[in-house]
Amino acid sequence: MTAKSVVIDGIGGQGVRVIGNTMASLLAVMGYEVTLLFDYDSSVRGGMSEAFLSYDREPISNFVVECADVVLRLADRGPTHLSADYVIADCDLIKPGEKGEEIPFLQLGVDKFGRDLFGNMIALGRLLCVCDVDFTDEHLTEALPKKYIAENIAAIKYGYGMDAESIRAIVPEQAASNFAERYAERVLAGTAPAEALEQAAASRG
Amino acid sequence: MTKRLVQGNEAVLLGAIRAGASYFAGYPISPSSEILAQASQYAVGHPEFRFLQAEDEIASVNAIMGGSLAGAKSFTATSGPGFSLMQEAIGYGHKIGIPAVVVNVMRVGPATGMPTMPGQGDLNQSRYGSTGDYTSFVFYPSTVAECYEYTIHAFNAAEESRSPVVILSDAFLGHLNEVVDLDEIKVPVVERTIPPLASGGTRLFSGVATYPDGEPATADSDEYIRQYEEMREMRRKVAQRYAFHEFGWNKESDTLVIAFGITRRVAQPLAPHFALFRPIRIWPTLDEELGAIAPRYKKIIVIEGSDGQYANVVERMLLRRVERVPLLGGRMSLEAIREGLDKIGMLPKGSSTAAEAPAKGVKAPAKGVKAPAKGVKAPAKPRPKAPARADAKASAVG
Repeated sequence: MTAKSVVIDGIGGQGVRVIGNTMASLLAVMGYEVTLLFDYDSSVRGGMSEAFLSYDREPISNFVVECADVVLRLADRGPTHLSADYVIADCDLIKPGEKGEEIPFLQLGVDKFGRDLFGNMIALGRLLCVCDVDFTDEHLTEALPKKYIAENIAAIKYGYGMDAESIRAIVPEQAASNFAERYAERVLAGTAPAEALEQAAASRG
Repeated sequence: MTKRLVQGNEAVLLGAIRAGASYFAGYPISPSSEILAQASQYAVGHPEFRFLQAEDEIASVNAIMGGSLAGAKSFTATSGPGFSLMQEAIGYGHKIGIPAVVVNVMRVGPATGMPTMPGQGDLNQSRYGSTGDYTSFVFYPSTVAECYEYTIHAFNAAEESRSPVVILSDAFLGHLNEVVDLDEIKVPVVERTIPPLASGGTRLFSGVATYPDGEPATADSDEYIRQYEEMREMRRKVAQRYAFHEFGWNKESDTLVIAFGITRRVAQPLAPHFALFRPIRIWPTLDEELGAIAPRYKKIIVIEGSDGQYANVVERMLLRRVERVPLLGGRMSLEAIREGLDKIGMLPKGSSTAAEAPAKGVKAPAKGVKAPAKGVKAPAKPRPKAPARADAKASAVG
């Protein structure tokens, strides 16, 4: 098989590194060869943040992903020349002509688990599902940081268990305009997460 | 240790520790800062390992020169602009004969340049950055495992050659994580070759040309030449033990690609079309090794992240013209390599530039273009509703 490639596109501070590290660690625990490259602006927080992840049963030579199998887009800051077979995105980040799905991960993190940060783990769960990564609880336990491990596992499983029907039921008909980016901008400006969610949602339309 | 994800910068630190390093001094700069940060964390639990965050790169490199003379295997890590500031002290280290290791995680220069983008533009600086004539040892790994392995070799070469040895890396290699088992990498460690300070006798550490008794020899050309040639010959012999390189891919091709560090990794899909020569020891140049291989090939292409720094070296080595594919502005990608090959008419049949053949999947439009359709698109195929099974076995990904 050829290496499967995933790109996580976001803004510094959104959790791109957490999602990338967790997925890479999980795949390593499962015995895969993994390459994970982080690329980010020097401004770090608030700047472009990308994770390029490849995995295979064989060693991987070229780890620079130019055509991804799956892109997880939490914000649209990635390289313009990147192409993707399938895009998982927070609200309103799918581009014309792209095949993919939009899910309000941050909102779900708050609604289902009480904190926006768990939205990252829900997104990871969805990403693992789309990539057909068949993991166990033991794999997850070994791969995840010990802090909040029960909540993280629950959030990953929640994301993994989503299907087209449940996603359709969750996503509002009137999707947000750059919801995730607006949310991140407000959080970076010092607004409390819950309030930032409300403000980002209020900008919809 | 078992297999685990290790970052390139972390592997350099672990290699240094394995080689017996006990002193790090540095100043943070992207994309090398993880080495400094992790060295500071390591020092907390290991009092035998000393750490200094200095006020700048000049202080850092002078601190490790002093640390080495005092008895500690010493190293620092920086990137292009910091490496420029270190050149005077590196020359001092060559003059005095100080074993030390300087890690340069290259980014795009000159000056501040592109701080988080990978470059390979410090090859000349790693050889000729300081003043005068001296023999530089420079290694450039291309995997995380090699970051560990060649850092150990760098410390060994520093001891044997009694000189500051440079490890080149780059923003991609430094920030790359790979699954490795570093315990599987066995490299013998060369012990310290110079006595520590205060171990008896008198030693002179002067940058000025001197006689062995310490008297100035600033006007004695013969003495300068004697000392210089003695040092050069000693380092030439040491270099023979560190002639690291790779020769592979399709050796029956009529074209030889020369690529190193990150470019060798990115160019891998071209393996069926070309032979590959990868210098791991960048300096001193691998004249004999490349000279033995090159005559078999009609054409030679140097793919590198600079505007021909190594291509110029190869032309001087072989006294023949080589083709060039410069990857500039941090654009280290197969697409950029293919475009470069296409420009010089060397794109292999069956390969193509992105312009000729659409990339896999849907091409993303320019940023800022809004999606007209809202809501959810159906996934590519139905997904199981059930969460991860506790009893499921690991299986291959489709």
